[in-house]
Amino acid sequence: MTQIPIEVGRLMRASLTGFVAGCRINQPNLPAFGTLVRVPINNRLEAFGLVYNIHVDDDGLVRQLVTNQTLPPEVIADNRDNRNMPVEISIITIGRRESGVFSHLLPGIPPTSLDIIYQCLPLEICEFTSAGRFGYFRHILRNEELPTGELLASHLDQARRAHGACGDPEWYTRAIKELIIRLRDDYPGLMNVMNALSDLPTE
Amino acid sequence: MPINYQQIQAQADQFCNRSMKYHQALNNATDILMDVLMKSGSHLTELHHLVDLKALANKSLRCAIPIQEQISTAYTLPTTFEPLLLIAADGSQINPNRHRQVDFGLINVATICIQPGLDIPPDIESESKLMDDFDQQTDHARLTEDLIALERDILERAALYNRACKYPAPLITISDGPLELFRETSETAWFEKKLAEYKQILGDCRSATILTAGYVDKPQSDLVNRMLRLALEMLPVSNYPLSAEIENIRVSDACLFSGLLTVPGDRSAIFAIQSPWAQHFKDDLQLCFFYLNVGRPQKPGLARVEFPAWCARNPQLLNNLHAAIFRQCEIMGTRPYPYILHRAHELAMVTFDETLQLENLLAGELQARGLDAGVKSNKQSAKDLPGRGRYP
Repeated sequence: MTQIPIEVGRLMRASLTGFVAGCRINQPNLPAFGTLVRVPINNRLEAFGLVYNIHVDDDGLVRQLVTNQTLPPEVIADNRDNRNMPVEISIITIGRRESGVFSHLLPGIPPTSLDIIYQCLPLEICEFTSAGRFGYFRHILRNEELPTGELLASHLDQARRAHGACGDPEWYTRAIKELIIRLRDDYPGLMNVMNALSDLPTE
Repeated sequence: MPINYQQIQAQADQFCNRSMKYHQALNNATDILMDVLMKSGSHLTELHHLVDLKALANKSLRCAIPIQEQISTAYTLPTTFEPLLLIAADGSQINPNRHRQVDFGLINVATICIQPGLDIPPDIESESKLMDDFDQQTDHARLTEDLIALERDILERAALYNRACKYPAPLITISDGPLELFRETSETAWFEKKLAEYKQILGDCRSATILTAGYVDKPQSDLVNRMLRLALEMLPVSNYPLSAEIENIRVSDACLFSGLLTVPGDRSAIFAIQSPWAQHFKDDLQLCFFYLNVGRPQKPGLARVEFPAWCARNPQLLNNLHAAIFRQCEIMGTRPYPYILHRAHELAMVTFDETLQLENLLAGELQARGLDAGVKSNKQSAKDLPGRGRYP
Protein backbone atom coordinates (compact mmCIF):
# COMPACT_ATOMS: atom_id res chain seq x y z
CA MET A 1 0.00 0.00 0.00
CA THR A 2 1.38 3.44 -0.98
CA GLN A 3 1.75 5.80 1.97
CA ILE A 4 0.77 9.43 1.61
CA PRO A 5 3.53 11.94 2.44
CA ILE A 6 2.80 13.84 5.66
CA GLU A 7 3.25 17.62 5.47
CA VAL A 8 4.71 19.02 8.66
CA GLY A 9 4.91 22.70 7.77
CA ARG A 10 6.42 25.28 5.48
CA LEU A 11 9.90 26.64 5.40
CA MET A 12 10.49 29.96 7.15
CA ARG A 13 14.25 30.43 6.75
CA ALA A 14 17.15 28.29 5.65
CA SER A 15 20.89 28.01 5.18
CA LEU A 16 23.00 25.24 3.71
CA THR A 17 23.38 23.54 7.08
CA GLY A 18 19.86 23.82 8.42
CA PHE A 19 16.41 25.27 8.11
CA VAL A 20 13.43 26.33 10.18
CA ALA A 21 9.89 25.24 9.46
CA GLY A 22 6.76 26.90 10.76
CA CYS A 23 3.56 25.09 11.56
CA ARG A 24 0.43 25.51 13.60
CA ILE A 25 0.58 24.58 17.24
CA ASN A 26 -2.53 22.43 17.11
CA GLN A 27 -1.89 20.54 13.90
CA PRO A 28 -2.13 16.79 14.42
CA ASN A 29 1.10 15.83 12.62
CA LEU A 30 3.56 18.00 14.54
CA PRO A 31 6.92 16.19 14.04
CA ALA A 32 8.64 14.92 17.16
CA PHE A 33 12.22 15.63 18.21
CA GLY A 34 14.61 13.48 16.14
CA THR A 35 12.18 13.00 13.23
CA LEU A 36 13.77 12.68 9.78
CA VAL A 37 12.18 15.17 7.37
CA ARG A 38 12.73 16.14 3.76
CA VAL A 39 12.12 19.25 1.72
CA PRO A 40 12.10 19.28 -2.08
CA ILE A 41 14.42 22.02 -3.40
CA ASN A 42 13.72 21.44 -7.08
CA ASN A 43 12.56 18.63 -9.32
CA ARG A 44 15.76 16.63 -8.82
CA LEU A 45 17.06 17.65 -5.43
CA GLU A 46 15.74 17.19 -1.88
CA ALA A 47 17.34 18.12 1.45
CA PHE A 48 17.06 15.73 4.39
CA GLY A 49 17.29 16.83 8.01
CA LEU A 50 16.62 15.96 11.61
CA VAL A 51 14.31 17.93 13.91
CA TYR A 52 16.50 19.10 16.78
CA ASN A 53 14.40 21.83 18.38
CA ILE A 54 10.76 22.82 18.59
CA HIS A 55 10.23 26.38 19.66
CA VAL A 56 6.93 27.96 20.77
CA ASP A 57 7.33 31.73 20.85
CA ASP A 58 5.43 34.12 23.06
CA ASP A 59 4.33 37.72 22.80
CA GLY A 60 3.08 40.40 25.16
CA LEU A 61 -0.49 39.13 25.20
CA VAL A 62 0.48 35.51 25.86
CA ARG A 63 2.81 36.65 28.65
CA GLN A 64 -0.08 38.53 30.22
CA LEU A 65 -2.57 35.69 29.79
CA VAL A 66 -0.37 33.03 31.41
CA THR A 67 -0.64 34.85 34.73
CA ASN A 68 -4.35 34.05 34.71
CA GLN A 69 -5.05 30.79 36.50
CA THR A 70 -8.30 29.98 34.72
CA LEU A 71 -8.36 30.79 31.04
CA PRO A 72 -11.65 30.19 29.23
CA PRO A 73 -11.49 27.58 26.46
CA GLU A 74 -12.42 30.11 23.78
CA VAL A 75 -9.37 32.23 24.66
CA ILE A 76 -7.04 29.24 24.38
CA ALA A 77 -8.63 28.29 21.06
CA ASP A 78 -8.27 31.88 19.83
CA ASN A 79 -4.58 32.02 20.65
CA ARG A 80 -3.89 28.64 19.08
CA ASP A 81 -5.98 29.02 15.96
CA ASN A 82 -6.29 32.69 15.12
CA ARG A 83 -3.17 34.44 16.33
CA ASN A 84 -0.17 34.37 14.05
CA MET A 85 2.19 32.40 16.28
CA PRO A 86 3.76 29.54 14.33
CA VAL A 87 5.60 26.79 16.12
CA GLU A 88 9.19 26.97 14.86
CA ILE A 89 10.80 23.63 14.10
CA SER A 90 14.58 23.76 13.75
CA ILE A 91 16.10 21.16 11.49
CA ILE A 92 19.75 20.29 10.88
CA THR A 93 20.50 19.31 7.29
CA ILE A 94 22.18 15.90 7.16
CA GLY A 95 22.04 14.87 3.53
CA ARG A 96 20.24 14.94 0.24
CA ARG A 97 18.57 12.93 -2.49
CA GLU A 98 19.59 13.94 -5.98
CA SER A 99 17.94 12.28 -8.97
CA GLY A 100 16.81 9.50 -6.66
CA VAL A 101 20.29 8.83 -5.23
CA PHE A 102 20.85 9.33 -1.50
CA SER A 103 23.97 11.05 -0.23
CA HIS A 104 25.13 12.29 3.15
CA LEU A 105 26.73 15.35 1.60
CA LEU A 106 24.91 18.62 2.05
CA PRO A 107 22.73 19.82 -0.84
CA GLY A 108 24.53 22.53 -2.80
CA ILE A 109 21.66 25.01 -2.42
CA PRO A 110 19.28 25.61 0.44
CA PRO A 111 15.51 25.25 0.18
CA THR A 112 13.54 28.48 -0.15
CA SER A 113 10.78 30.22 1.76
CA LEU A 114 7.42 28.48 2.03
CA ASP A 115 8.69 25.19 0.59
CA ILE A 116 6.69 22.31 2.06
CA ILE A 117 8.48 20.04 4.53
CA TYR A 118 7.47 16.40 4.71
CA GLN A 119 7.99 13.79 7.37
CA CYS A 120 9.98 10.86 5.94
CA LEU A 121 8.14 7.57 5.57
CA PRO A 122 9.69 4.41 7.12
CA LEU A 123 11.01 3.27 3.72
CA GLU A 124 12.68 6.67 3.16
CA ILE A 125 14.21 6.50 6.65
CA CYS A 126 15.66 3.06 5.84
CA GLU A 127 16.96 4.16 2.44
CA PHE A 128 18.52 7.38 3.76
CA THR A 129 20.14 5.91 6.88
CA SER A 130 21.51 2.83 5.11
CA ALA A 131 23.03 4.79 2.22
CA GLY A 132 26.83 4.91 2.52
CA ARG A 133 28.43 4.41 5.92
CA PHE A 134 26.58 6.62 8.38
CA GLY A 135 28.20 9.72 6.90
CA TYR A 136 25.35 11.86 8.21
CA PHE A 137 26.55 11.30 11.78
CA ARG A 138 29.35 13.82 11.19
CA HIS A 139 26.86 16.67 10.71
CA ILE A 140 25.34 15.89 14.11
CA LEU A 141 28.57 15.18 15.99
CA ARG A 142 30.41 18.30 14.88
CA ASN A 143 27.61 20.71 15.80
CA GLU A 144 28.28 21.72 19.39
CA GLU A 145 24.98 23.56 19.73
CA LEU A 146 22.91 20.40 19.33
CA PRO A 147 21.75 18.22 22.23
CA THR A 148 23.79 15.48 20.54
CA GLY A 149 23.12 12.53 22.87
CA GLU A 150 19.38 13.13 23.07
CA LEU A 151 19.07 13.80 19.35
CA LEU A 152 20.94 10.65 18.38
CA ALA A 153 18.97 8.55 20.86
CA SER A 154 15.67 9.83 19.53
CA HIS A 155 16.73 9.44 15.89
CA LEU A 156 18.21 5.97 16.35
CA ASP A 157 15.10 4.80 18.18
CA GLN A 158 12.88 5.92 15.29
CA ALA A 159 15.27 4.53 12.67
CA ARG A 160 15.59 1.22 14.55
CA ARG A 161 11.82 0.71 14.33
CA ALA A 162 11.78 1.60 10.64
CA HIS A 163 14.63 -0.83 9.87
CA GLY A 164 12.96 -3.52 11.97
CA ALA A 165 9.82 -3.12 9.85
CA CYS A 166 11.97 -3.23 6.68
CA GLY A 167 13.65 -6.51 7.78
CA ASP A 168 17.04 -5.19 8.92
CA PRO A 169 17.08 -5.39 12.75
CA GLU A 170 20.91 -5.40 12.74
CA TRP A 171 21.06 -1.82 11.46
CA TYR A 172 20.87 -0.44 15.01
CA THR A 173 23.92 -2.45 16.16
CA ARG A 174 25.91 -1.25 13.16
CA ALA A 175 24.92 2.33 13.90
CA ILE A 176 26.07 2.06 17.54
CA LYS A 177 29.42 0.57 16.45
CA GLU A 178 29.91 3.40 13.98
CA LEU A 179 29.21 5.97 16.70
CA ILE A 180 31.76 4.34 19.01
CA ILE A 181 34.36 4.48 16.24
CA ARG A 182 33.63 8.12 15.44
CA LEU A 183 33.73 9.15 19.11
CA ARG A 184 36.73 7.00 20.15
CA ASP A 185 38.87 10.10 20.72
CA ASP A 186 36.12 12.00 22.53
CA TYR A 187 35.38 10.09 25.73
CA PRO A 188 32.97 12.68 27.28
CA GLY A 189 31.10 12.90 23.97
CA LEU A 190 30.89 9.13 23.70
CA MET A 191 29.62 8.78 27.27
CA ASN A 192 27.04 11.47 26.60
CA VAL A 193 25.70 9.53 23.61
CA MET A 194 25.92 6.13 25.33
CA ASN A 195 24.09 7.40 28.40
CA ALA A 196 21.28 8.72 26.26
CA LEU A 197 21.11 5.47 24.25
CA SER A 198 20.98 3.44 27.46
CA ASP A 199 17.68 5.08 28.29
CA LEU A 200 16.07 3.71 25.12
CA PRO A 201 13.69 0.78 25.65
CA THR A 202 15.25 -2.57 24.71
CA GLU A 203 13.68 -4.39 21.80
CA MET B 1 19.42 67.93 20.41
CA PRO B 2 18.43 65.69 23.27
CA ILE B 3 16.24 66.85 26.15
CA ASN B 4 18.00 69.22 28.56
CA TYR B 5 17.80 66.95 31.59
CA GLN B 6 19.51 69.45 33.84
CA GLN B 7 16.64 71.89 33.37
CA ILE B 8 14.05 69.14 33.62
CA GLN B 9 15.48 67.90 36.91
CA ALA B 10 14.86 71.27 38.54
CA GLN B 11 11.35 71.43 37.08
CA ALA B 12 10.58 67.87 38.22
CA ASP B 13 10.85 69.01 41.84
CA GLN B 14 8.29 71.74 41.25
CA PHE B 15 6.15 69.24 39.37
CA CYS B 16 6.06 66.90 42.39
CA ASN B 17 5.33 69.70 44.86
CA ARG B 18 2.47 70.99 42.74
CA SER B 19 1.19 67.43 42.32
CA MET B 20 1.15 66.94 46.11
CA LYS B 21 -0.88 70.12 46.66
CA TYR B 22 -3.26 69.17 43.87
CA HIS B 23 -3.89 65.72 45.33
CA GLN B 24 -4.57 67.17 48.78
CA ALA B 25 -7.20 69.47 47.29
CA LEU B 26 -8.56 66.62 45.18
CA ASN B 27 -8.95 64.39 48.24
CA ASN B 28 -10.79 67.15 50.12
CA ALA B 29 -13.14 67.76 47.21
CA THR B 30 -13.70 64.01 46.77
CA ASP B 31 -14.61 63.60 50.44
CA ILE B 32 -17.21 66.35 50.23
CA LEU B 33 -18.69 65.06 46.98
CA MET B 34 -18.74 61.52 48.36
CA ASP B 35 -20.73 62.83 51.28
CA VAL B 36 -23.15 64.43 48.84
CA LEU B 37 -23.37 61.19 46.88
CA MET B 38 -24.27 59.19 49.98
CA LYS B 39 -26.84 61.73 51.20
CA SER B 40 -28.49 62.30 47.86
CA GLY B 41 -28.88 58.56 47.19
CA SER B 42 -32.58 58.76 47.91
CA HIS B 43 -33.22 62.12 46.22
CA LEU B 44 -33.52 60.73 42.70
CA THR B 45 -36.62 62.68 41.73
CA GLU B 46 -35.22 65.96 43.05
CA LEU B 47 -31.93 65.39 41.25
CA HIS B 48 -33.75 64.58 38.03
CA HIS B 49 -35.83 67.74 38.24
CA LEU B 50 -32.81 69.77 39.15
CA VAL B 51 -30.91 68.64 36.06
CA ASP B 52 -33.98 69.26 33.85
CA LEU B 53 -34.31 72.74 35.27
CA LYS B 54 -30.64 73.55 34.77
CA ALA B 55 -30.68 72.13 31.26
CA LEU B 56 -33.45 74.55 30.31
CA ALA B 57 -31.32 77.47 31.42
CA ASN B 58 -28.01 76.12 30.19
CA LYS B 59 -28.18 74.47 26.79
CA SER B 60 -24.60 73.27 26.98
CA LEU B 61 -25.08 71.56 30.36
CA ARG B 62 -23.18 68.31 30.54
CA CYS B 63 -23.77 66.02 33.51
CA ALA B 64 -25.27 62.73 34.65
CA ILE B 65 -28.95 62.09 35.29
CA PRO B 66 -29.95 59.40 37.78
CA ILE B 67 -32.40 56.87 36.39
CA GLN B 68 -34.10 54.34 38.61
CA GLU B 69 -31.40 53.06 40.95
CA GLN B 70 -30.12 54.43 44.28
CA ILE B 71 -26.97 56.30 43.29
CA SER B 72 -25.18 55.65 46.58
CA THR B 73 -25.32 51.87 46.21
CA ALA B 74 -22.74 49.46 44.77
CA TYR B 75 -24.41 46.75 42.69
CA THR B 76 -22.53 43.47 43.00
CA LEU B 77 -21.61 41.12 40.19
CA PRO B 78 -24.69 39.05 39.29
CA THR B 79 -24.46 35.50 40.54
CA THR B 80 -26.59 34.19 37.70
CA PHE B 81 -26.18 35.30 34.15
CA GLU B 82 -26.40 33.90 30.66
CA PRO B 83 -23.08 33.80 28.76
CA LEU B 84 -24.29 35.62 25.67
CA LEU B 85 -22.45 35.64 22.37
CA LEU B 86 -20.05 38.59 22.22
CA ILE B 87 -19.03 40.54 19.15
CA ALA B 88 -16.45 43.31 19.27
CA ALA B 89 -15.29 45.70 16.58
CA ASP B 90 -12.40 48.08 16.38
CA GLY B 91 -11.25 50.41 13.68
CA SER B 92 -7.89 51.73 12.66
CA GLN B 93 -7.22 54.40 10.10
CA ILE B 94 -4.62 56.01 7.91
CA ASN B 95 -5.19 59.73 8.00
CA PRO B 96 -4.65 61.86 4.90
CA ASN B 97 -1.29 63.55 4.79
CA ARG B 98 -0.37 66.01 2.07
CA HIS B 99 3.33 65.35 2.67
CA ARG B 100 3.03 61.82 1.31
CA GLN B 101 3.60 60.92 -2.32
CA VAL B 102 -0.01 59.80 -2.70
CA ASP B 103 -2.60 61.39 -0.45
CA PHE B 104 -5.25 58.93 0.66
CA GLY B 105 -7.12 57.70 3.70
CA LEU B 106 -8.00 54.24 4.86
CA ILE B 107 -10.30 52.73 7.44
CA ASN B 108 -9.76 49.18 8.56
CA VAL B 109 -12.46 47.63 10.73
CA ALA B 110 -12.05 44.21 12.33
CA THR B 111 -14.72 42.22 14.10
CA ILE B 112 -14.33 39.22 16.37
CA CYS B 113 -17.10 36.98 17.59
CA ILE B 114 -16.67 34.88 20.73
CA GLN B 115 -19.03 32.31 22.19
CA PRO B 116 -18.00 32.22 25.88
CA GLY B 117 -17.43 28.83 27.42
CA LEU B 118 -17.07 26.89 24.18
CA ASP B 119 -13.81 25.42 22.91
CA ILE B 120 -14.33 27.07 19.53
CA PRO B 121 -11.88 29.58 18.06
CA PRO B 122 -13.47 33.01 17.64
CA ASP B 123 -14.67 34.00 14.20
CA ILE B 124 -12.73 36.98 12.83
CA GLU B 125 -13.29 39.28 9.86
CA SER B 126 -11.91 42.55 8.62
CA GLU B 127 -13.03 45.14 6.10
CA SER B 128 -10.91 47.88 4.58
CA LYS B 129 -12.18 51.06 2.92
CA LEU B 130 -9.87 53.21 0.83
CA MET B 131 -10.80 56.90 0.91
CA ASP B 132 -9.81 59.78 -1.33
CA ASP B 133 -10.48 63.46 -1.76
CA PHE B 134 -11.17 63.43 -5.50
CA ASP B 135 -14.89 64.21 -5.23
CA GLN B 136 -15.00 67.99 -5.43
CA GLN B 137 -18.79 68.43 -5.32
CA THR B 138 -19.84 71.15 -2.91
CA ASP B 139 -22.01 68.92 -0.72
CA HIS B 140 -19.22 66.46 -0.14
CA ALA B 141 -17.06 66.89 2.96
CA ARG B 142 -13.29 67.19 2.57
CA LEU B 143 -11.20 64.24 3.64
CA THR B 144 -9.93 65.23 7.07
CA GLU B 145 -8.89 63.40 10.21
CA ASP B 146 -12.23 64.25 11.83
CA LEU B 147 -14.17 62.93 8.89
CA ILE B 148 -12.23 59.68 8.88
CA ALA B 149 -12.68 59.28 12.66
CA LEU B 150 -16.42 59.79 12.36
CA GLU B 151 -16.69 57.47 9.38
CA ARG B 152 -14.67 54.86 11.31
CA ASP B 153 -17.07 55.03 14.27
CA ILE B 154 -20.03 54.48 11.98
CA LEU B 155 -18.34 51.64 10.09
CA GLU B 156 -17.49 49.96 13.41
CA ARG B 157 -21.11 50.13 14.51
CA ALA B 158 -22.36 48.94 11.10
CA ALA B 159 -19.89 46.05 11.09
CA LEU B 160 -21.12 45.02 14.54
CA TYR B 161 -24.74 45.13 13.43
CA ASN B 162 -24.05 43.19 10.23
CA ARG B 163 -22.16 40.48 12.10
CA ALA B 164 -24.76 40.33 14.88
CA CYS B 165 -27.59 39.79 12.41
CA LYS B 166 -26.08 36.42 11.51
CA TYR B 167 -26.61 35.08 15.04
CA PRO B 168 -29.70 34.55 17.17
CA ALA B 169 -30.47 37.38 19.62
CA PRO B 170 -29.96 38.39 22.34
CA LEU B 171 -26.27 39.04 22.06
CA ILE B 172 -23.80 41.73 23.06
CA THR B 173 -21.86 43.94 20.69
CA ILE B 174 -19.11 46.12 22.07
CA SER B 175 -16.64 48.69 20.86
CA ASP B 176 -13.94 50.74 22.51
CA GLY B 177 -14.93 54.26 23.51
CA PRO B 178 -18.20 56.01 24.22
CA LEU B 179 -21.41 55.49 22.29
CA GLU B 180 -21.94 59.20 22.12
CA LEU B 181 -20.98 60.55 18.73
CA PHE B 182 -19.36 63.95 18.74
CA ARG B 183 -16.86 65.45 16.38
CA GLU B 184 -15.67 68.92 15.60
CA THR B 185 -16.60 69.08 11.95
CA SER B 186 -17.47 72.16 10.03
CA GLU B 187 -19.56 70.12 7.60
CA THR B 188 -22.83 70.32 9.52
CA ALA B 189 -25.12 68.93 6.84
CA TRP B 190 -22.79 66.05 6.27
CA PHE B 191 -22.51 65.43 9.99
CA GLU B 192 -26.30 65.43 10.36
CA LYS B 193 -26.51 62.82 7.64
CA LYS B 194 -23.92 60.64 9.35
CA LEU B 195 -25.61 61.09 12.72
CA ALA B 196 -28.90 59.91 11.23
CA GLU B 197 -27.08 56.90 9.79
CA TYR B 198 -25.59 56.13 13.20
CA LYS B 199 -28.94 56.47 14.96
CA GLN B 200 -30.51 54.22 12.38
CA ILE B 201 -27.98 51.48 13.19
CA LEU B 202 -28.61 51.87 16.94
CA GLY B 203 -32.35 51.70 16.25
CA ASP B 204 -31.94 48.57 14.14
CA CYS B 205 -29.93 46.99 16.96
CA ARG B 206 -32.70 47.83 19.39
CA SER B 207 -35.34 46.23 17.11
CA ALA B 208 -33.24 43.07 16.82
CA THR B 209 -32.44 42.92 20.60
CA ILE B 210 -28.75 43.36 19.86
CA LEU B 211 -27.23 45.00 22.93
CA THR B 212 -24.85 47.79 21.93
CA ALA B 213 -22.19 48.82 24.42
CA GLY B 214 -19.17 51.08 24.54
CA TYR B 215 -16.29 50.48 26.93
CA VAL B 216 -14.25 53.42 28.23
CA ASP B 217 -11.00 52.46 29.91
CA LYS B 218 -9.44 54.80 32.49
CA PRO B 219 -12.39 57.20 32.25
CA GLN B 220 -11.69 60.83 32.97
CA SER B 221 -15.22 62.17 32.64
CA ASP B 222 -16.88 63.97 35.55
CA LEU B 223 -20.56 63.67 34.65
CA VAL B 224 -21.66 62.45 38.11
CA ASN B 225 -19.38 64.94 39.79
CA ARG B 226 -21.10 67.76 37.89
CA MET B 227 -24.50 66.46 38.91
CA LEU B 228 -23.42 66.30 42.58
CA ARG B 229 -22.14 69.87 42.42
CA LEU B 230 -25.63 70.92 41.28
CA ALA B 231 -27.06 69.01 44.24
CA LEU B 232 -24.60 70.64 46.59
CA GLU B 233 -25.59 74.03 45.28
CA MET B 234 -29.34 73.60 45.27
CA LEU B 235 -30.39 70.69 47.51
CA PRO B 236 -30.09 70.34 51.29
CA VAL B 237 -27.71 67.41 51.07
CA SER B 238 -24.54 68.68 52.70
CA ASN B 239 -23.50 71.10 55.38
CA TYR B 240 -20.03 71.43 53.93
CA PRO B 241 -19.92 73.67 50.88
CA LEU B 242 -16.86 73.45 48.67
CA SER B 243 -14.31 75.98 49.81
CA ALA B 244 -12.92 78.42 47.31
CA GLU B 245 -9.63 76.58 47.00
CA ILE B 246 -11.25 73.32 45.94
CA GLU B 247 -14.28 74.68 44.13
CA ASN B 248 -12.64 74.43 40.75
CA ILE B 249 -10.98 71.06 41.32
CA ARG B 250 -12.21 68.63 38.74
CA VAL B 251 -13.03 65.33 40.45
CA SER B 252 -13.34 62.53 37.93
CA ASP B 253 -16.18 60.08 38.43
CA ALA B 254 -13.67 57.24 38.57
CA CYS B 255 -11.99 58.93 41.53
CA LEU B 256 -15.35 59.36 43.23
CA PHE B 257 -16.59 55.82 42.65
CA SER B 258 -13.34 54.10 43.54
CA GLY B 259 -14.36 54.70 47.18
CA LEU B 260 -17.77 53.14 46.64
CA LEU B 261 -17.12 50.27 44.23
CA THR B 262 -14.59 48.50 46.41
CA VAL B 263 -15.24 44.87 45.47
CA PRO B 264 -14.14 43.64 42.02
CA GLY B 265 -17.24 43.30 39.87
CA ASP B 266 -19.18 46.06 41.65
CA ARG B 267 -20.99 48.48 39.40
CA SER B 268 -22.49 51.88 40.10
CA ALA B 269 -26.09 52.86 39.60
CA ILE B 270 -27.14 53.54 36.04
CA PHE B 271 -27.07 57.15 34.88
CA ALA B 272 -28.18 58.82 31.69
CA ILE B 273 -26.09 61.46 29.94
CA GLN B 274 -27.27 65.05 29.77
CA SER B 275 -25.35 66.85 27.04
CA PRO B 276 -26.07 68.79 23.85
CA TRP B 277 -24.97 65.86 21.68
CA ALA B 278 -26.77 63.30 23.84
CA GLN B 279 -30.03 65.13 23.03
CA HIS B 280 -29.88 63.46 19.62
CA PHE B 281 -30.42 60.10 21.32
CA LYS B 282 -33.91 59.98 22.79
CA ASP B 283 -36.28 57.46 24.39
CA ASP B 284 -35.01 53.91 23.84
CA LEU B 285 -31.74 55.20 22.47
CA GLN B 286 -31.03 57.61 25.34
CA LEU B 287 -27.39 57.09 26.30
CA CYS B 288 -26.81 55.51 29.71
CA PHE B 289 -23.77 54.30 31.60
CA PHE B 290 -22.48 52.74 34.75
CA TYR B 291 -19.02 52.53 36.28
CA LEU B 292 -17.60 49.08 36.85
CA ASN B 293 -14.76 47.97 39.07
CA VAL B 294 -12.84 45.62 36.78
CA GLY B 295 -9.81 45.47 39.09
CA ARG B 296 -8.65 43.00 41.69
CA PRO B 297 -8.99 43.01 45.48
CA GLN B 298 -7.05 46.03 46.84
CA LYS B 299 -6.41 47.15 43.24
CA PRO B 300 -9.62 48.79 42.00
CA GLY B 301 -9.76 49.70 38.34
CA LEU B 302 -12.72 51.71 37.14
CA ALA B 303 -14.16 51.58 33.63
CA ARG B 304 -17.28 53.21 32.21
CA VAL B 305 -19.73 51.14 30.21
CA GLU B 306 -22.20 52.93 27.95
CA PHE B 307 -25.38 51.45 26.48
CA PRO B 308 -28.81 52.64 25.26
CA ALA B 309 -31.71 53.08 27.66
CA TRP B 310 -33.66 50.08 26.35
CA CYS B 311 -30.91 47.80 27.74
CA ALA B 312 -31.10 49.55 31.09
CA ARG B 313 -34.79 48.65 31.30
CA ASN B 314 -34.10 44.94 30.83
CA PRO B 315 -32.58 43.68 34.13
CA GLN B 316 -31.59 40.27 32.74
CA LEU B 317 -29.82 41.80 29.74
CA LEU B 318 -28.14 44.34 31.98
CA ASN B 319 -26.89 41.58 34.29
CA ASN B 320 -25.55 39.70 31.28
CA LEU B 321 -23.71 42.80 30.10
CA HIS B 322 -22.34 43.50 33.58
CA ALA B 323 -21.05 39.94 33.99
CA ALA B 324 -19.77 39.59 30.43
CA ILE B 325 -17.63 42.71 30.59
CA PHE B 326 -16.20 41.81 33.98
CA ARG B 327 -15.38 38.26 32.81
CA GLN B 328 -13.71 39.63 29.68
CA CYS B 329 -11.55 41.93 31.80
CA GLU B 330 -10.67 39.10 34.15
CA ILE B 331 -9.10 37.18 31.28
CA MET B 332 -6.40 39.82 30.92
CA GLY B 333 -5.18 39.21 34.47
CA THR B 334 -3.29 42.00 36.14
CA ARG B 335 -4.12 44.64 33.50
CA PRO B 336 -7.89 44.23 33.15
CA TYR B 337 -9.37 45.25 29.82
CA PRO B 338 -11.91 43.26 27.76
CA TYR B 339 -9.96 40.53 25.97
CA ILE B 340 -12.32 40.69 23.01
CA LEU B 341 -11.65 44.41 22.54
CA HIS B 342 -7.91 43.90 22.69
CA ARG B 343 -8.18 41.21 20.04
CA ALA B 344 -10.34 43.42 17.83
CA HIS B 345 -7.72 46.15 18.16
CA GLU B 346 -4.92 43.71 17.35
CA LEU B 347 -6.77 42.59 14.23
CA ALA B 348 -7.66 46.07 13.03
CA MET B 349 -4.40 47.88 13.64
CA VAL B 350 -2.74 49.31 10.53
CA THR B 351 1.01 49.50 11.03
CA PHE B 352 3.39 52.12 9.69
CA ASP B 353 4.95 49.52 7.37
CA GLU B 354 1.53 48.65 5.94
CA THR B 355 0.88 52.34 5.32
CA LEU B 356 4.10 52.57 3.31
CA GLN B 357 3.24 49.40 1.39
CA LEU B 358 -0.20 50.76 0.56
CA GLU B 359 1.25 54.06 -0.59
CA ASN B 360 3.71 52.24 -2.84
CA LEU B 361 0.92 50.09 -4.21
CA LEU B 362 -1.21 53.12 -5.09
CA ALA B 363 1.76 54.97 -6.61
CA GLY B 364 2.56 51.89 -8.71
CA GLU B 365 -1.04 51.55 -9.89
CA LEU B 366 -1.19 55.22 -10.87
CA GLN B 367 2.10 55.01 -12.77
CA ALA B 368 1.01 51.82 -14.53
CA ARG B 369 -1.97 53.79 -15.89
CA GLY B 370 0.27 56.62 -17.03
CA LEU B 371 -0.98 58.97 -14.31
CA ASP B 372 1.03 61.31 -12.16
CA ALA B 373 1.73 59.55 -8.87
CA GLY B 374 2.87 62.77 -7.23
CA VAL B 375 5.94 63.35 -5.13
CA LYS B 376 6.70 63.39 -1.46
CA SER B 377 7.00 66.87 0.07
CA ASN B 378 10.50 68.27 0.46
CA LYS B 379 9.92 68.45 4.21
CA GLN B 380 9.03 64.76 4.36
CA SER B 381 12.00 63.86 2.15
CA ALA B 382 14.30 65.69 4.55
CA LYS B 383 12.76 63.90 7.54
CA ASP B 384 13.22 60.55 5.81
CA LEU B 385 16.95 61.09 5.32
CA PRO B 386 19.03 58.56 7.25
CA GLY B 387 19.90 60.28 10.53
CA ARG B 388 23.36 60.75 11.91
CA GLY B 389 22.10 59.43 15.20
CA ARG B 390 21.95 61.19 18.50
CA TYR B 391 24.93 59.30 19.94
CA PRO B 392 27.35 58.83 17.02
